[in-house]
Amino acid sequence: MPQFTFSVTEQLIPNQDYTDKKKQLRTHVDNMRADDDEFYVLVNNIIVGEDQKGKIIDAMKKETTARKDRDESIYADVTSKISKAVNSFNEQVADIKKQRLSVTYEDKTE
Amino acid sequence: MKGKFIVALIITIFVLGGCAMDNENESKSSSANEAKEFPEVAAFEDEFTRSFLESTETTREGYYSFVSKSNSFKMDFPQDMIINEESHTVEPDDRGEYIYMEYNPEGSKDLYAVRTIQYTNFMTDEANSKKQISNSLDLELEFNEISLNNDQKLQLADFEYDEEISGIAALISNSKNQELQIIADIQCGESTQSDTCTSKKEKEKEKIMEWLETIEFINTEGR
Amino acid sequence: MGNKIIITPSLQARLLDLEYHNLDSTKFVEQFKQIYLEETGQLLEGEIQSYNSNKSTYSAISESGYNGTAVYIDTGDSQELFIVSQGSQDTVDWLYNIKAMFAGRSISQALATDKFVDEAKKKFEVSEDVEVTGFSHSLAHNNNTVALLNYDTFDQVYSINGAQTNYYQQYFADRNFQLEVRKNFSISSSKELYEIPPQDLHDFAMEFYGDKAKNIHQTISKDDPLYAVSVVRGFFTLGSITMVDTNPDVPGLRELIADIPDDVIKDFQELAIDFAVASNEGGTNEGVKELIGIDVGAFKDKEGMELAGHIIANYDTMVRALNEKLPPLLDRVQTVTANSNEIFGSLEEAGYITERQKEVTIDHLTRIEKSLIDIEDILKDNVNLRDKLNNPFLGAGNEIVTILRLASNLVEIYMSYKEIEKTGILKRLESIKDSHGLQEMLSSMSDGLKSYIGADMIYTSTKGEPIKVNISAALQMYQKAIPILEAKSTKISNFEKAIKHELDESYKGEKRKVQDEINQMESSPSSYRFLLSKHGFYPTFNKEIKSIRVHEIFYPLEDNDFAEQLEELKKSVESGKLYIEKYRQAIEDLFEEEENVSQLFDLSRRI
Repeated sequence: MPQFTFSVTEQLIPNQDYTDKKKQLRTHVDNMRADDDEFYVLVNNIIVGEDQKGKIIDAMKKETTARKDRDESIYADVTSKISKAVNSFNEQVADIKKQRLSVTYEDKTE
Repeated sequence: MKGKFIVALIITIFVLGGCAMDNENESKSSSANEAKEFPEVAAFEDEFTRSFLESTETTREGYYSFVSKSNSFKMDFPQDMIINEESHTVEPDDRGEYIYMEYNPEGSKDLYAVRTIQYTNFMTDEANSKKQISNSLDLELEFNEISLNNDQKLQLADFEYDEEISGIAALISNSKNQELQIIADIQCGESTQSDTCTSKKEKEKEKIMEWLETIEFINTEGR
Repeated sequence: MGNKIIITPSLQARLLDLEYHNLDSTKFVEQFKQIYLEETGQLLEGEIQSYNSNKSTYSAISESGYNGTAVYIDTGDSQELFIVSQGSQDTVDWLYNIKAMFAGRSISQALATDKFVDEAKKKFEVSEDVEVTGFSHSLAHNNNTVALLNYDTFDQVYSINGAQTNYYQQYFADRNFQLEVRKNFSISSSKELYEIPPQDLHDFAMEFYGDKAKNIHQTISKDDPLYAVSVVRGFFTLGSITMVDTNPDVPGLRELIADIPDDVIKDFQELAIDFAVASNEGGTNEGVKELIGIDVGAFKDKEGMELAGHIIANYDTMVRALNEKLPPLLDRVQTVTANSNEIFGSLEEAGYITERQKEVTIDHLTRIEKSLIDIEDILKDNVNLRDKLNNPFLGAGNEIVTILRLASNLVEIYMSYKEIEKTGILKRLESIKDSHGLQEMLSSMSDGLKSYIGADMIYTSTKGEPIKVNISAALQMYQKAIPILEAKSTKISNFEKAIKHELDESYKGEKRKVQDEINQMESSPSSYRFLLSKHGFYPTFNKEIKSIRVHEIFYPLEDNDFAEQLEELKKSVESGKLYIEKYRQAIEDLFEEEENVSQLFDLSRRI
């Protein structure tokens, strides 16, 4: 009996949305931020009153602000990286679920 | 219009006023303290002491039934004694009460005897309570257990404070953390001869013993 | 003995303050050590345990109203037990206790204190002879001192702004004392007790407790209102006393009060306590309600028929409330008004209140008194009134007039109360309370370098412009920042793991699922007949799928590289450690002359 083969691109597994992973990963960033907040609460209590001036105080205040800003920019970078990575993940998983396949069948009537 | 309102007002007052009168009568009749004939004994003649007594009927000769204001213990109250009002206390939530009893100063001057009861419902440890009693007298007391009934324990210690003063200290306790620290002292009056003093003291001691055995916790379940 | 625990007044004040924070056991010990380090410059070493009365194995203790913490310190060669007691658990207790104290009664809190100490000893398994030191503030001083005098609970008692002991209270609580008083003054009834000249009884009590008083140490603010009122009959001040002027703006109340008779003070006090507490809790309405038992706020704006209707509807409860509250209130108000020039005049003179506050208060207290007397008159006739009410044949006009008179008096009282309140005198007088608190005491314990804000220790740098640094906070930062950074480190590695899990591993998992499907297809192609119809190979009944070959392509996952970000995060932790050291250095530079600052930082990490 003759056999025939045809080739098609087939969705092997239904698609799914993985956007939720962003939230999962961002939770970790929030946790780190919470530690930073706790850290800065301790630091901010040290100098009594906002209006105190002096070389040493100014230097420490500057240092603290710089540090805070740097941390903030790291978190911003991490957050956007998470976004990008999860979007990409979503697309790539969708891609692998579609594959090319060859199907061979037999025609019994011939 | 105004006239009508006033009529309505008056009718309302009659009704309400009537109700109020009824309530008042009721509350008056339930109080044992109003316009009644009282036994002519010190305990009843003293208004404050009277407020602890449940009935004008004696429980036994010379005693009337007493219920503490915290509603935590009762006893037979000697008719010749009165309770000091200034020192009487009931703690919030009825967790403690203090009673200071003495013979009516208007009565016989043979004997000066004071009985104090410190009630608390937060007893922790028996040994500690006995230590507290001993410390309050500044004496080393030896307690003997006398009776054990109804989950209630009575422990007693005789004491001689000095040549003049002697007495009995007692701890009454139960398993619900309730305790009564009791100190009853006896001192002869100045006019009393030393030979009669001893016998008077012995007699008073017997009375104290008899009285102690009437003290009972009131079980208030579910507190 | 090895190195004995050092006790300074500011250490005491801060420990007492700490006790009011109701911390858990670990936290309490940690803070205890921190305060000890700051105050003494020394590390409290050895085994330290704490035990709170609320955690008591005997539920009875926690229900007794007693509140305190026991701290046991075993340095190896010496053992000590410290008991830090709170005044009272809640407002109800506080009010009860303060009133009871003035009446010179109730020692159940002292009993509870002794029971707690006894229990703590058992809990820590310490011998009977271990030294027990009590710290107390306010009412707790009364409890602790009574416990020391009556039950030998403490070896030493240290107190700040304590409520003093009362010899009438002791007469009833301490039988030993009572018996000696009875013998010494030849009294044969408790009535005679009050006939003994107070000064004689005072002196006798001082002598009787002289030996034990050596173990009592008090620090008292001259401005503490509790100190002021302890001039009244019954109180005796035991122990070594350090007086501190915590509010130099005013002279303190004691001398003012000394001239006013005891019973006047008592009435004023009770009135003020009821007034202040009720107003605090619910404003004017509650204040008036507490005093006269009637919610005037509910009808003060009503008029005519509406007002009469309201009064009639609530007539019964009102009369009852008035019957109960009025007589004692009138008594107290009358005592106060009779002496109002003296009381408020001296308060004004001493700068506690303004002239206007004085005048308005005196004026309105007199009005309140007048209204109360009028109400009393109405109530006296009330029995008659009611009899009349029961008789429908008697005239009605009078009753209405009476009811409206009652209402207008009540509203008058309410308005007067409001006027007094409006002057701000209550707030003004309330600030007197601050002088009873621990923080004002701490504030007064400043020297050039050291001062306090709240319960935190502040150092002031004198190099150039004075700069205030919160040393408590700096040490806390130095001590806790490292653990926080370490926690952050852990969170960074958790994040790293999460990336692996959520992206790499998850991608692998998805791949595996696809691969499984491929395997399934290839091994049992016949189950995929639907592919024939799906792709249009009709008819399908005569066809059979023989094989399926998947030409799978899997690209590796992209955009999953967080190396750069993780690196930055880790760097931030490392730079944090440097930052802390820099901060420490900056503070040390500010206080170059204070050698111990550097040592404090070092030791703080060993807590």
